[in-house]
Amino acid sequence: MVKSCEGKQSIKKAQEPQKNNSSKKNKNFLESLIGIAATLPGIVTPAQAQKAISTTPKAEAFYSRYSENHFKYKVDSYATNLLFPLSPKWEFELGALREVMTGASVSIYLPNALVNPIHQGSLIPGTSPVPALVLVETLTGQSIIETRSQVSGRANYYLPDGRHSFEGGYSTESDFESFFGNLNSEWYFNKKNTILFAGFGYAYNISRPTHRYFKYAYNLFHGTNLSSNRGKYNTERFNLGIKQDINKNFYVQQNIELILNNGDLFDPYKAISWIGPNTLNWPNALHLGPIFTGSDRRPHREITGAFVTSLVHYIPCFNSALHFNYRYAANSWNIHSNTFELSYYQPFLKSWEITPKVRYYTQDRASFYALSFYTEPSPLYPYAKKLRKNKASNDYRLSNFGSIGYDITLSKFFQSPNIKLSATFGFAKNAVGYGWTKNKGPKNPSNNFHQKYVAVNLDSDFPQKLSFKKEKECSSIYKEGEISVQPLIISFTGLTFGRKHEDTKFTPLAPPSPAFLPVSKFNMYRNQRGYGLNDVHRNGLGYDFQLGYFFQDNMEVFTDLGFVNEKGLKEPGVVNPLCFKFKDRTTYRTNFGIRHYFDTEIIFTPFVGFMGGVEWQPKTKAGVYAYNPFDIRQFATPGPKLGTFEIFKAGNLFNGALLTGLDYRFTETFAVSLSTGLYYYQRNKAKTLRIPGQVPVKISDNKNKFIVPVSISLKIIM
Amino acid sequence: MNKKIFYIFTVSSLLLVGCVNVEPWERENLAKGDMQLVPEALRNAFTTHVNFSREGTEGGYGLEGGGCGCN
Repeated sequence: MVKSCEGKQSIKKAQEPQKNNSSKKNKNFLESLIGIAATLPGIVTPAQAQKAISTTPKAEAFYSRYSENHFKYKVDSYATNLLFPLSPKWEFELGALREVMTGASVSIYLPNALVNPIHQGSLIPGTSPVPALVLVETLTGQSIIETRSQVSGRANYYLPDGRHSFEGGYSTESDFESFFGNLNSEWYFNKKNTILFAGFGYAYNISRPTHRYFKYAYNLFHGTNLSSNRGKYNTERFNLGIKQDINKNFYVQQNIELILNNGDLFDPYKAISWIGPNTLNWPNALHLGPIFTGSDRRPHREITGAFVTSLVHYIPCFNSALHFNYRYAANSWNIHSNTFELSYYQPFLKSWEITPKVRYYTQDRASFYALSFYTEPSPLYPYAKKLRKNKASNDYRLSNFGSIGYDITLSKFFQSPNIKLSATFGFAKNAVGYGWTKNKGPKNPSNNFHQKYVAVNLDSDFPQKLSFKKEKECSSIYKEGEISVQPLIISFTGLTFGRKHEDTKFTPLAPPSPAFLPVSKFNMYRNQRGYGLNDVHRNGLGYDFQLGYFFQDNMEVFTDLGFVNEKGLKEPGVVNPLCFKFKDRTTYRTNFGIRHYFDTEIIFTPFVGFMGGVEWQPKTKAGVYAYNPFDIRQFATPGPKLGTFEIFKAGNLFNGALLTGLDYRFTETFAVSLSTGLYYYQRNKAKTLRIPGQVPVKISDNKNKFIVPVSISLKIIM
Repeated sequence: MNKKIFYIFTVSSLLLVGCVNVEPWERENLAKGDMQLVPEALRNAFTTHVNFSREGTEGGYGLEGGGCGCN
């Protein structure tokens, strides 16, 4: 691969302080050569240490399909990372991740007599001498359909003998949000034979569990509302590390990390059961025959220390590399774990590589973990643990178990442009018997499952043509009289102001009966394609066509035509005692606007502008069904259908936006445009839903007025 | 036992500081992609996240952002 003159200068500039004498000059020259060699195919720039600043953009894309046999749990992951060099000392990385999860998870372990005939899990032998009280895994139902999206940005600043990184990001799913930031530094010593690492990370997490599936059932049976299990917690991470070269083929790295979790650390989807009276006033306690159930509760603080030793050895005669990692981790909940990893990188046939890897993990159980609990000892539950205030969980991840995993990766290297394509096949089995700790009492059956995954990874350098400096400085990017066409603009929703996740409000207009819940807010739509950061109203994937005209240099007027698809959701118990199936909907929009572009020294062309227009929304309809209190899964067995009703009328609504973004005009005819902005949407008018025999319900659009989407498109200039 | 192993590795790696002198022109093998601690960042992030969501302990492999309400 040929490096640009500019790239070489960058490397040299970074090394200028060392140029004191001729011998050092020679060394610097060699270092430069090595730095350049490090970007050759198969000799990718180091990820952890002595990283040289990139001189060309790089991209990495990843897809995986992960599955577990026990709960039919599946996760599809899509991830990408783009790296842009900005100057000889700065580079920027942009990362995005999307996960789509389906399946179920264990909610509680209940006596067999209680969960039959809706028996969902396997019997747990040894939990009780009475067959009717033998515990059974009770799942949330095959109802989890969830997406998680994450965006992050990182700036790297290079020093002659070190590097600093500044990272920030946001992760969201329907019931969980996380804001995070990381600072990392590394310093090189001893001719770069020694590297010290230090880092600090902070994350703020909010969980908003969706209990709507059994909220009404709880109310019906218990007479009071299910109390909110919303939680917030923060995470602080401190990391120290040292990497030491032992010889030209071998190095050792030692990392120490301290993790402090503070706040509501319980799992809102898990519950415990105990025998004996509710003497501790446990939250959300429910009396079911001989036992009580209640929420999962954990200490408000968790302190974890993790120590990792890595040995990495190059084997010259095979041109291969051997990696070994050992981790010891312990936390204040009395969980201790040991992890061993061994992987081997073997190139073959010039452009191929195979990488087998094995991993063994074992952990103890948390001090407050048990399958069942008691407030008064009972021979009916011989292995139950005494219930203590605010500390009890049956989460299988807190129990003692072990895991053996192995995977194999096959990689192919291509040249011009440099691409590394890898496929990984992985398998792991979790079992209580694999752990080092001997089990007391019944084994947790939820820990006997296996995981499989298939992953594809694409790692690439961009062609050298993509230099980030304009060829002709001070020349206008767009000329008067040019016409621009953007045949397809795809918009992904970014942040939504207020981050509300319920878009439609249902207000009963008559005094609610005891069985009625008060005002409820729910989502009517999920984005059809599953893109966008929030699965809320009109926050999905948008498709637009734009036509623009430059009435003077860098000034453009444009018109926009587009639509947004939304997929209707099924909502059991939206307005008690009813269930709704919302119909899919497409909203059309047209806008007019103006944009001004700014010439800069780099190839990116920033712009600002605004647009406004109207959108037409068709009728919003829903099938309405009677509520079935025994249908705690997501609309598996609703009651009889009462009819199809109009939820919102058709109508025209105003929308407008302040825009900004970047264009990259890479030829006379083509440009890529990345834009964002503050978008305003007018709310839909309220309507009253009148269903014969039911309390009238006022429906109002509770959606957010402002959103910040991100759009990408190819621009054709004529 | 575990503490001893940790202690031995930590002390031995610290003692090595300054005792080793690999010259820049000898770093070819150390600079290779396969010799980096994490050769493929995204795949590593995926497996780390899978393990994090199914195990009771975490950490030690460098700072990572992002959360999940993993079920």
